[in-house]
Amino acid sequence: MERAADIAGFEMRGTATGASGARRGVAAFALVSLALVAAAALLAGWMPLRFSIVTVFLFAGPHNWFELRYFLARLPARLGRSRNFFCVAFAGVAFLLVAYAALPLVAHAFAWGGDEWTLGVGVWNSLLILWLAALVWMRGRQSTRRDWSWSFAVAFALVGANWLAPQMFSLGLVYLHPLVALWFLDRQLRRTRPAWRRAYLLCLATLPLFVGLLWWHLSDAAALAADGDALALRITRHAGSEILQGVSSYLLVSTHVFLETVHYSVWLLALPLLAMRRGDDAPWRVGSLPLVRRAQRGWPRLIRALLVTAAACVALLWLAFLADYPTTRDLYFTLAMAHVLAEAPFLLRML
Amino acid sequence: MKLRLCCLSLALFAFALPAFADIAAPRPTPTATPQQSRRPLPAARMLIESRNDATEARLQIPRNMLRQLHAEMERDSASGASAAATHSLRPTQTIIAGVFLSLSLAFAGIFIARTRARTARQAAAIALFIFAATGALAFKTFANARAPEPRTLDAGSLKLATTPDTELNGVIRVEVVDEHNVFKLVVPATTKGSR
Repeated sequence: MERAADIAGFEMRGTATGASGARRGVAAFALVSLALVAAAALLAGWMPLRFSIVTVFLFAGPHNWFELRYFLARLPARLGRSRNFFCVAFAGVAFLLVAYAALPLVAHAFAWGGDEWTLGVGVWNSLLILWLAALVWMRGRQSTRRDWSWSFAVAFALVGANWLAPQMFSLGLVYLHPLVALWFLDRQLRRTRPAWRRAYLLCLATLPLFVGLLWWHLSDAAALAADGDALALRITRHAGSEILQGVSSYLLVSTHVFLETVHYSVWLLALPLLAMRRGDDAPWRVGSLPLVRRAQRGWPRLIRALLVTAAACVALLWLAFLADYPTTRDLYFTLAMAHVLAEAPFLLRML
Repeated sequence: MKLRLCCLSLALFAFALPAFADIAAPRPTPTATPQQSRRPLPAARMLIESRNDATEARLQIPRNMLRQLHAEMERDSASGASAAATHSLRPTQTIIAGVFLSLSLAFAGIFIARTRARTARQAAAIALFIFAATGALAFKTFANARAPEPRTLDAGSLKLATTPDTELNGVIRVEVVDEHNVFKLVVPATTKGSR
């Protein structure tokens, strides 16, 4: 009887310790997230150009490797009913990437003017939207509970809107893409740490606050790149200074680099740490990947070789940045379209 | 049935407004000067650089900007027919946008008619209502509104190149370069006693 009371007491103490530990975990997660976001906003507002150069140099390559690792972890060894979905997804990624890279080359070869360029961008954006709509529809068809045929109505409305201002639509993608990482993090928390999700949503709600603070503080800041530096011009152009000519380029670069930093933080810190806390392998250990674990259906050697090659590419990217930062930056942001596109099917798989 | 009637009424409402929206714009006065034109002028970055190795002042004009300015001049001097030809993409954009927006409405209607899920149907009907109402209000607002004024560009640190009461002048050599969108004024550096 006494022993039973001891056991009950121990269990209660254990539950209480567990609950307080969980609360501490949630609080630590929220505090670290807020600190990171605040630091990113501060640095982005204070020295946007330098912060952009440093973050892209340090994190652009590694975050692509982590994304690849994350996607491979979510790629089933047996595609089954998802075969067509993944076929359309991978074919779309390859085709849209080639078209995206070819667009400036074709424009240069045929000496395109503004009208032809607008037409080219409009066609590429339309293909992207229709591809996304097809993926949403196919994903919806994989369950009888879902009817996602609304995707085409929404897609056609978006294509229509795109044709009214194609360049503006592309710029919208530049600013929206970093936010997709936050959706991935939400889905991951919902699966693995549902108790943390409330704190996460509260942190997420502060993001517009930080963006608002940046806009309020920098709305009439002097334009960047007045000294005609080629790299600064590239960075401001990427942030949309030529499209939004009435908006301070300082503000645009700050906002963009802030969102990019949040994006890098999610892929390089939040998602890998969450996976490790759950008991999964460290990111550099690939034994737990379905395509490696299931030797009969997977391709263990190919996947290992792919990840090692990707790591070598990251190192090569650093060397290229050191050799010629502006050209490497242009090349990187062209090829990085692959990861932007690849996020769509894997996010849909998590919905 | 009520829902379908509601959707039909909304569609009628959405398509009726554009019919009233396309009232011809007032004719422009023939005496309008280029300064009075509301068309946004091309914008580019300007850089003033002082160089020790320069012997004469030199204005570098980017080739793409020169091409753009040339097109603008041709457009100004061309007749109405040829001016319409240079704007050929704008009607194309409008037509494609119109076709896809109409397709969107049609597909939304098909979705509402076909779906069995009550929630999805209600959500789609609400979305369609918002879409139609926003579209109608946009038509009403923008139908014959004047083109927006070009936004004021930020002159950056160029303002430091002159003082309010002093005018700088001199002879420059003009050259066309391949640099994109940056006008550059290279000025020989001031040496002691050269002023």
